[in-house]
This record gives sequence, C-alpha cells and structure tokens, in this order.
Amino acid sequence: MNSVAARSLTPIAVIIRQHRQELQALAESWLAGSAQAFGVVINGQTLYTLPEGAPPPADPIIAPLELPEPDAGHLFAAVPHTDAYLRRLKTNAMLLSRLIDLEQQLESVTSELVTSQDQLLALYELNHILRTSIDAPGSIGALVREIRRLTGVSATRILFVDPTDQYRYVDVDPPQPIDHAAIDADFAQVAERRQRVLTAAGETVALSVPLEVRESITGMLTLTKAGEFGSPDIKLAESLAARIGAHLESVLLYQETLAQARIKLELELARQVQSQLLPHSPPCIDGIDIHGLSSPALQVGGDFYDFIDSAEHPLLFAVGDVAGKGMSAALVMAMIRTAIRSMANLPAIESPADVLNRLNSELIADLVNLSVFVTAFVGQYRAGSDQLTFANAGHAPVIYRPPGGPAHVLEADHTAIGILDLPNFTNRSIDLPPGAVLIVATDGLTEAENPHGELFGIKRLVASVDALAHLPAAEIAAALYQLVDSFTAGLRQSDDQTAVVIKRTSASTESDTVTNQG
Amino acid sequence: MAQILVVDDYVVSQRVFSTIIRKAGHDVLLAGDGREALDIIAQGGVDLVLLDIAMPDIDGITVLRRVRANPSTRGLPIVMITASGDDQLQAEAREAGANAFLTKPASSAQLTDVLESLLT
Repeated sequence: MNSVAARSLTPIAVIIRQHRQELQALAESWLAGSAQAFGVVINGQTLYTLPEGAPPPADPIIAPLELPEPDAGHLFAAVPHTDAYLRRLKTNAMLLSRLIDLEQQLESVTSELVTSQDQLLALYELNHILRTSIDAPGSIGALVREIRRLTGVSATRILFVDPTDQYRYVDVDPPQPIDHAAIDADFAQVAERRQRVLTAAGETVALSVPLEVRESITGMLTLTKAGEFGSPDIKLAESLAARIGAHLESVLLYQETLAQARIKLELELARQVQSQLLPHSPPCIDGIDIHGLSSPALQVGGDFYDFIDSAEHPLLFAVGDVAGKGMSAALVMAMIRTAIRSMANLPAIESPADVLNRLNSELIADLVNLSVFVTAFVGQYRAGSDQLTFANAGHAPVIYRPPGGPAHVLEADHTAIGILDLPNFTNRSIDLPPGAVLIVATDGLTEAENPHGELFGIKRLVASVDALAHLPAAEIAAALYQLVDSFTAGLRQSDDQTAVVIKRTSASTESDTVTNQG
Repeated sequence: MAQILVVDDYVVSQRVFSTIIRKAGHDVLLAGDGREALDIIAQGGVDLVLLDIAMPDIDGITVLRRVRANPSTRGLPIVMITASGDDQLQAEAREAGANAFLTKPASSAQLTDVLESLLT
C-alpha cells in the first residue's frame, strides 16, 4: 500500500550525475573568471570537480548545501576570499540544493506513480480472476495472492463460509499454518460488528473487513502488516471485500444454476424413462377399442396406466394414481407398474381382485413407510366378451356409459392400496354391449382448475362422455383432454392427468348392468 | 549491480522505468532518442537496454537492428517496450533480435522478472 515512509529517495550522487552538464556549465563560468577549481562534495566525497581529477584546493571558499539529514555537502571554489565570490557561491549552493530537493520530490512522486501503476495492473489481474473463475476454492486461492501483490501487505487471508452448505474455505498467502480458533474469534467480531476490525499482535496489525454475500456476513478479508493501516488502506480493503462478496455471490448463483440444470436434465431423463413405462400403443383386442393417454404435471408424475396382453390371460389393464407428484411419486409409480406386470403373469392370479389383493399385501409395508398410498383400477376383458370384470382400490373417476346413455359414475368400493393390510378387494362385472363406453381417469382431469378457481368437475366429465361417446376411443380421449385444456385456459397443469377409454365395438346381447361378484 | 540503459523519448516513462530499475538494485543510464542510445551503447559498459519502439528520428526497431548488426554489441540483451496494441510489432521486434517484449504499462514485477532473467 502507498506509504510515504516506504518511498525510496534518489541518492544525491545519482542526481549530481544526471545534472553533470549543468554543473559543468556552472564550473566553466567560475573557471572563466579567476577560479582555479570548482566542485561538489557530498558526505565527504567529491562527486564533481573541474578541472577533472584536480586535487582538492588548499583554501577554497565553501558554501554548504541544504540537504535533508543525514546527507551533508557543500560547493567549493578556489578563488580569493571575497564577499562577492562567497555570495555568488552561496547562491549557486542554494540553487543546487533546490534542484536536489525538486529531484527528490519528483522521484518520490514517480515512486508513488509506480506503486499506483502496479496496483492498477494488479487490479486488472484481480478483475481477470473474478471474471474467469467460477468456483469458490479456485478463486479464493488466486484472490489472496493477487490482493497481497496489490496491497503490498505481508499476508492476506480470506475466510468464506458457503451459506448453502456452511462449508468453510480459508486461504492464506504466503502459505502458512492456519489457526482456525483465532480465525473464528476474529470472524465472530467482524460478523457481530458488520464492519472492519483491527487487531494488533506485537509489531503487526491485522485488518479484517467483512465479506457480504446475499446480505449476510459470510466471511472476511484479512490483511496483515507491520505498522498502521491508514484510511487509504482501509478504503482499498473494503472495496476489495465488496468486490469479492459480489464475485462469491455470482459463483453461488452459477453453481445453483448449474445444479438446477443438472436436476432439469435428470428430470428430463426420468421423464423419458417414465414415458417408456407407459404403453406405446393400445392392444388390438377383438370386441373393444381401447386407448390410453397420460400427461404428468411435472416432468414426471405418479399416474400410470398399463395394458397387459398375453396369450395365457385375457387382457388386463390398470390405471393408477400415486399420491403426490414429481420424482418420489414417479418412483412409486414405477414400482407399482412393475409389481402389477409381475403379478399378472403368476398362475395364481386370475382376476383383477387377485392382482389388487396381492399388490396390497406385498407393498403395504413399503407404502406405509413412505406414507404413500395408491389408488388403482384393474380391469379384465376377454376378447369378444360382452362383460368386463374389474376391481377398484379407491380409484376415481370411473365413468360408464351404456349404449343409449346417459353416462354415470361408478363409485369405488374399496380403499386405496397401502391403507389397510386386508385382502378385501373384490371383483365386479359390467355389461359391455356394443357402443358402451368405460372411462377410467385420474382426478387430475376433474380437478383441473380454470382462472376463476372453478374445477372441471365430475359433472362436466360425465356430460363430456355423453357428448363424445359416438367417437372412437382415441378420439374420445383426445377430445376430453382438449375440453379440459380449453377449460383451464392455459393455466399450468397442477396434477397428473390420465385416462383410459374402452369402447365396445362388436354386437352383443348382454344387458347394461353392474354385478357384484364378491 | 548492472548498468541498464533506458531509451524512451517520453520523460515520464524514463522516470518510471528508472525508479523500478533502481529499486531492483541496478544503475540507470538514460537516452531520449535512438541516436543518443547508439552513442551510449558504443561507449560500452551497458549490460542491458530497455528500448522503446516508437521514437522520432531513429526508432527502436532500427536501433535494435543496428546493435545486432555490430559484432561488438550483437549479444547485448535488449528488451523492447511499446505502448502500441499492434501485435505485429512484437513479431517484428522478435524477428529483429529482441530478447524480450513488454507492453506499457509494465508492472514492477514484470519488468524486474524480465531483467533478472536476462541478467543472470
């Protein structure tokens, strides 16, 4: 840091040498008169004399130079001792003294200019580090080095406590053992006062200034040197601390943005994985037209549907809704979907109720631990049949529409999976004559909200089924989504939305009834 | 202690470089133009030259070429300095035989490092 005491004055010998031509002109003017010799003596040494190399005159007149201590010197001229010569020599001595003084002042100014220039260049370097470094440990290490160069102190230290994870970064230049207890004590003071703290230890003084990140004191910059810190030093330290604070804030923001980008990428990958878990196309089953759609509220969701079509079993289909949204719901959804698929192929599993009872008994412990439950509707349809068998574990809405209408709700008659550890799920059957439509949806459709806070609701859904029943299954599903989308008028989807539409296509003689089969 | 010749027509630069060099423990000679620089070099005793490129009359590159062309001064370490942002000048100076190249403003540390590397 700038310090008058630290400036280096130009040795007078150098100044005399630099002004040799002027001295020569002066000496020649003396020798042009009656002088035998003229010279300059500094600290007992003759630095200039004319004639060159002449021995010191025996009895010259002398005029002392006014020099700052400890330097001393004089001019001499080998002339007769007269008042006129003495006055002339004194005038010359005064002028030379003034010249030396001005040269020393100029050197002092130049020295400060060099210091300022060095500081400016160190600031360039500091700015470069602050602009290009994007991690806290890397930038703190580089900063302590550059700040020591910039300030010229004997040691620099930065303490930074990352507000996101409370991780402590401490770096010191020059490298030395770190006394964490002493740092903590200093930091406690700085954090409490929210301003600089000066502490003296013997000959050295430490100046600690707070680093403020996100309006909290999260660290400090400490400069140590022998002697006092003046106001320019303190202003510089505080300015540097403010700049470092802003930089660390940017680093944190960058890291958070990066973390969010990673999460977003992982969610996108999860979405792709989850979309692979949903059927790519509906199965072709004689007697029904079946179609499913699902749209998660976030990248991933807890809704699912599945079609399990094998040569050994009639078509089994499932629609479910895991309580909650996002990644946790998606993981449970994947678990449930896999479990249903596994069970569907077990010889002992013959009906939808078998699936739900087995699912509940095997997963209830895990689901209770996770505090999660799952509503699920499992249906079974034998190709060409006029009936459909199902079991419903607390799932809604389920809309049934006989060929002539009207559509109505089939209420769930059992609790969701993961609530009770009882094998109490039972099968029910529904007649499925040509033109009959069954829609198994999730509550994301009925609870879709418009800008006025109104829900799409079960009544609208039932009415929509009546209006759309003449369409093929895929078009009914698409039109339902379209209606819900128009209703919400572009508001962000707040819950996962899923619907499986089954429409009976070929002739049948069965009636439109629902039968409990225990 | 080495004898270093600072050649620059801008007196502030002369002063700044002289101060840094003296603080590094070396002696300084000054020249305000290329012709004066060549005279001082010809007298001998110069250990290193800090040579500004842009000077009236004889510019720094010309001085450099003449020093390199003279068998008695060919090996003299010469550091070229410039305030120009033209990268081509650096290539030209290197081609003409400069030992090092600095742009203004040069920090004390940069200048001292260059001097020490060339004087040892």
